[in-house]
Amino acid sequence: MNNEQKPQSLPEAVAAAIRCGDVKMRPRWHFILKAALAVIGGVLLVLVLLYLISFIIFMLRSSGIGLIPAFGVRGWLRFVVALPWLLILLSILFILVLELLVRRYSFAYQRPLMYSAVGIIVMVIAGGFVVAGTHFHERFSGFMNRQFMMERTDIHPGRVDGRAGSGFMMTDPHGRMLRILVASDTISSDDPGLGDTVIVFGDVDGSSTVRAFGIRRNPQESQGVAK
Amino acid sequence: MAVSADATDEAITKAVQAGDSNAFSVLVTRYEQKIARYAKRFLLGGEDGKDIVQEVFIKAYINIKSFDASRRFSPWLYRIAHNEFVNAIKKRSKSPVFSFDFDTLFPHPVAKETADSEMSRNELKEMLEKSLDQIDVKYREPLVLYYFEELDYGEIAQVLQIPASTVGVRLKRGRDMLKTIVKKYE
Repeated sequence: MNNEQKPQSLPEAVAAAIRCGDVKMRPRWHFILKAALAVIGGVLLVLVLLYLISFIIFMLRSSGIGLIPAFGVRGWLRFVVALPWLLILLSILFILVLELLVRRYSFAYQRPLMYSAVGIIVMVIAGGFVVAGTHFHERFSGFMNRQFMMERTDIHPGRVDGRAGSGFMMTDPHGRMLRILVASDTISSDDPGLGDTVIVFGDVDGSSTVRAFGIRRNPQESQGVAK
Repeated sequence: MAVSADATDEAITKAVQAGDSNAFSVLVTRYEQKIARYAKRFLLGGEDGKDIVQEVFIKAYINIKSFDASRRFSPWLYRIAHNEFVNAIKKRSKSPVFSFDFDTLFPHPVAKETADSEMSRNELKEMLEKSLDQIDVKYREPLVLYYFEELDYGEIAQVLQIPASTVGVRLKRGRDMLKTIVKKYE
């Protein structure tokens, strides 16, 4: 029958779709823009990660939480509880997103996932230590400091102001004077001297007396951040 | 400007990118059978096979300006086909095709096929043809690409976007699966 149409071959069907304008080539700038957005997204993610991780390191150092594991099992348990889990989980989430973004590129997917994942983790943690070593968070992280540098009732950073019996007097970052009671079972590597910055781990007895479970010198001088 | 019949895929792609849409028909003609064969073996038939193959070429045309003509055209086209086929399987099964693959996590030594392997390549192809439907899709695809489409490890790695060592692992596991299936029916 003459009015029956012969079915189109695949090349004919594709050519017809192109000819009639149903199918159009995407312009080159579309792909350049897409690639640029992916790179910008990746760079922003890295910057956010650097900020978060450096803040976690800065917080652990300046609040004294990072020194608490030195006080044995009790110290470790308190350390785990005191970790900023929200920030840590957020960082893990961003690392996963960054990994997904990077895996689209041949330099990443041609190698086992572990390599790119370890690369990203090492890069952001090393970068985090570098940023945390500057005064960046003291100056520019006011909101984060208020949210996460909350006062802890059993971890007390401060500066030794004078001796008091077997213990000493200490001024905390809020300007409060605390009396630190040192007992024979207090864990302390050495006796802190006048003007030393220390971390005292122990419960407050009354309003301004701390029974020290452990004392350590704090090499970080950034006491003012929790103000 | 018409492209010559013996022009390379990459030269034809360059012509298409420069605006010679007719040249694209040459690529469609060259790869029509291969992609249809790949679809048949990967998707195990289905009424929508022909439409999906057509969609592969249409997607290739739409995105042709993203192709880097200094690289090989066939893995790029197979990658588009892979994505389309995976989407088609997802639509059919309404469940995730590939979950997280731990094989891509750690490095593996690349185990290349040796000439003195237990079964010859042709025997293997024959057995595969009969048993493809019993092999998990994760292992079926590299087997199809390696034995039927004759892509090498590097090209399969490009198509599936996984490390070449993982291609080797999947091929080995696929062959082991095939041997188990064959033994079951002996």
